Amino acid sequence: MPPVTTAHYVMLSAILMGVGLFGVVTRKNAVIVLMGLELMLNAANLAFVAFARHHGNLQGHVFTFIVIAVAAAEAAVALSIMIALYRLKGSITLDDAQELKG
Amino acid sequence: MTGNVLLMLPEILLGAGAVLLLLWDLRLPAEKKGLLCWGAVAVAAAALAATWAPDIARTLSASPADAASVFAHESFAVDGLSVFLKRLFAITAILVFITAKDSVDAFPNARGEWWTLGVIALLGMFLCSGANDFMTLFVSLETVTVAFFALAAFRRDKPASVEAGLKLLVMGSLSAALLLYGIALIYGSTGTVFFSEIAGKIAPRALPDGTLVVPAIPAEMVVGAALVVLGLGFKTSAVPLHVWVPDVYQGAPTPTTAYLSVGSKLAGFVLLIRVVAMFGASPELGAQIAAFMSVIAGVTLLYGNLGALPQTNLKRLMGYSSIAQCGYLMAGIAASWEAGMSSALFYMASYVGMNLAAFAVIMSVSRATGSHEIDDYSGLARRSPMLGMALTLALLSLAGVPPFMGFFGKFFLLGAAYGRPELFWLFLIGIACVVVALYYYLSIVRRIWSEEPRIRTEIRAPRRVTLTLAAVSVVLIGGAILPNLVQAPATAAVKQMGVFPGKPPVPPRALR
Repeated sequence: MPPVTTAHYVMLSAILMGVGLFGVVTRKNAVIVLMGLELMLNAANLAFVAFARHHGNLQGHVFTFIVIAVAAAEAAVALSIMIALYRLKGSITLDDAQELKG
Repeated sequence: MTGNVLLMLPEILLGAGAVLLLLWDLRLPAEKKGLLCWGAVAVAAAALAATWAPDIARTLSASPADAASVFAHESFAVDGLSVFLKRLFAITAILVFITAKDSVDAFPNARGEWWTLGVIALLGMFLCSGANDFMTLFVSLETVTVAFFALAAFRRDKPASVEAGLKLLVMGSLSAALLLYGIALIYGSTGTVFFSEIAGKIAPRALPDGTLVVPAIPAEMVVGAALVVLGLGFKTSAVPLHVWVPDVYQGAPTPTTAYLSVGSKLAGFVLLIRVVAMFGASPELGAQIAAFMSVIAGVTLLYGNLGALPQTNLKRLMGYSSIAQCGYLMAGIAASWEAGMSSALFYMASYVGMNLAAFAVIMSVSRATGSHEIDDYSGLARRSPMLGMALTLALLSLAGVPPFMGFFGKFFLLGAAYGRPELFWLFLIGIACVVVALYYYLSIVRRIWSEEPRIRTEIRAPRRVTLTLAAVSVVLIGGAILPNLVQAPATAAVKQMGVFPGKPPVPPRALR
């Protein structure tokens, strides 16, 4: 069995990034879109940790913790906006948020 | 390494001020919430005054070591560029807070928090202007962005506002993820997140025997740099992450739109200048990124100006106008020599004045008419000569008509692009777009002055708004008569960075 190298981790993170982006672009439910966004952030986290191990320094690990904290703040605001949308429209599909066009 | 704590005094004041405002909001009875506006203005003014603290400390202290210009292991730079932008940000916040007071006071819910979030966004902008490594860049950028998510969705009772918040949120998080992946790739190829260390790794260096070693730039570094520029393009409203701009500008509460259109955009631009300066350490990577940005600038110019033509809603039109203005700034930065950068800084200063003047009028008019349709601005000069005059001046300056600051900004920016023969096509697009922009800005000016108003009632603006508009108008004209007042510190800030050539660089053969 071949050893798992940094390249494998980075490839996996690129795939996760692609899956997340696909989810954000194609899904209509706001919560699923948020899941896609979180997946993209965590794909970057995986790349950071893999590179940190590769280079043997801690900057990538520290960055990962910062990203986790920022993602939590983002999710808190995101969910509160979705609750506001649900109270107004009774649903959280993005098709219901289409007043602004032109 | 430790640096002087005075260097971070403005940020410390803003952080403490935001917390104090939040606590004060808890204690204030509902009918006195208007006082919070003056609290927020005081915090921003204190931060503005504190940007002079390092200078004062430098003159007072005997040892030059106290006046170190980087803070916390080079994470935070206090140089000419960051001080110039901090002053612009503080002035932006003060102008927005003063002119937004009536609109925010009329919000039905939780209006005190608008001021706290506004100060937190200002703190993020201050941190952006000094960010000197990718961690600081990411955290400061997200401080601004997340504060604006909440500010855009602030009117929870209005579907348009919540929709604006949601669109800003999805596009903002998407661009943050792309930016982050770009940072990860750059970290992967250099092993560091500090700008100075990355620049040191990619810069050509001379060996002791005199030969020049040019480090090879790996493909992931180029992809990472491109992703970083794209991700920052969300803040600066550059194509392709511009799609949120018209919707959010139209749907968000007008005070938020005014703040977003200036503060958030300039925060993106200062970070863009910093990363471009870093990538420029390698001539090969610098040329590739400059070529990439010049394409973005051209497409952004065309998209913003052509998209603005059919608009009937003034806030939406300001959104397209904001995309178009981003194109001019990108053109100057893509030229990546000294004149391009310093004229970008000059244009940012004039943009603060003209855009905020336009939004101050929009806020006053919409409070009287309840509408943002351009039809309702017909005959504005008869309903309120002062507001009509101020809006005319702001729009003429945005269009780049000669006696105003906006003209000189565009003149300098396009001149910087003209200095690079291979960017001549971008210069031509810029000139064509100036003509297109004249059409849509001047058609509003025509309606303000020559059409009959549908309703003839007078529109009265509060005295502090008229005084602010008068002051901004004086600056817009004064900055055109004496452009050197702004141009001199801008040029000094760019020279201090010491990375941009004083003359247009000769393109490497491969790119011709």
